[in-house]
Amino acid sequence: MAERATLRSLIRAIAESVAGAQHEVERRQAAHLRSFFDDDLRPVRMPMRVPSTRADAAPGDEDLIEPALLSLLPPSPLRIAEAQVAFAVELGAVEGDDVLVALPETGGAPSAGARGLMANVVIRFREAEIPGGVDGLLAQLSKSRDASAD
Amino acid sequence: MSDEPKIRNGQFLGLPMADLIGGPLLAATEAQMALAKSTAAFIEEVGAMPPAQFNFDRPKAGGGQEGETERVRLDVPLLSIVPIPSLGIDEINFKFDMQVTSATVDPADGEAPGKLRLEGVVAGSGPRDPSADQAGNYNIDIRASTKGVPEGLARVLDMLNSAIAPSVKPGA
Repeated sequence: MAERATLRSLIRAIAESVAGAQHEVERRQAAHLRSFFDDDLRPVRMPMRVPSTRADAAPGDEDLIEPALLSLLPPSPLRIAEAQVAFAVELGAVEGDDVLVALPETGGAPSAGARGLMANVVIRFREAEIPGGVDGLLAQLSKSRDASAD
Repeated sequence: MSDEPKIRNGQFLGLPMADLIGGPLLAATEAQMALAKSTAAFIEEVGAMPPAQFNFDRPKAGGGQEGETERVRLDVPLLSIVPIPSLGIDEINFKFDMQVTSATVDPADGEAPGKLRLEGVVAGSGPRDPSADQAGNYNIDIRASTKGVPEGLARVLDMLNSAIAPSVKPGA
């Protein structure tokens, strides 16, 4: 007999798996971003000598520019835009406001016994637009992050 | 994410579902980082090279005699005349079937129901037998893409970009 859980917990487990995968990617990207700053939190720079553009420059004069390395690279974080998980599940009894489902029997071979009522479930996740309230909150946070003299 | 694959009696038991989904995404992210690093290395290498020099004659500035020319030299930074490799992953799409190998429910914690944990392996990619039992076989289709720069990072980049200004080279 397969173990049983509720349909709600099954869908939640799948949603958490997708969210967990995205979270791990973001964590890795944040660590990558951190690598462009040194231990004193200053941006890692790439000094370059370029021909001077100053009006009073003599031939052969050079200027030194030190752009932050981060500003020279294409920042393009990956995000899950759409995810779809489709599966069939055997429905069981109604429990409260939820439905029990048979969890897949583990150990490899599927059971050969008769199955009950089967349901095909398709869960589609899609990156949502940021709600207006969150957008406003992010704008406020961005303002508060403005540089302060140290 | 778990670091070690779960193996019992020499048999692979599967990975958490988040790892199966996150694995290809992390691989793409790391590829993205490697591409960014190659861009940085290129800029560093080519930026350190001496500028390309061109000499040519042009009509003398300041109204010289007709036909009078002057020789000028142009120093052009190499970075400004070569294409800079700036490849990045724009979109990644992966699909696979996950065969659930383990579905366990944590004990309920007070009022909160027990948490369900799914683990599985990537199932074979051959043609699917419609008569076969598909229970425990989850078809997964993920599309990830890049979608602009986050607001906070955009502001950091603005600040960094505005700080790019030439300074006289030491000892000049």
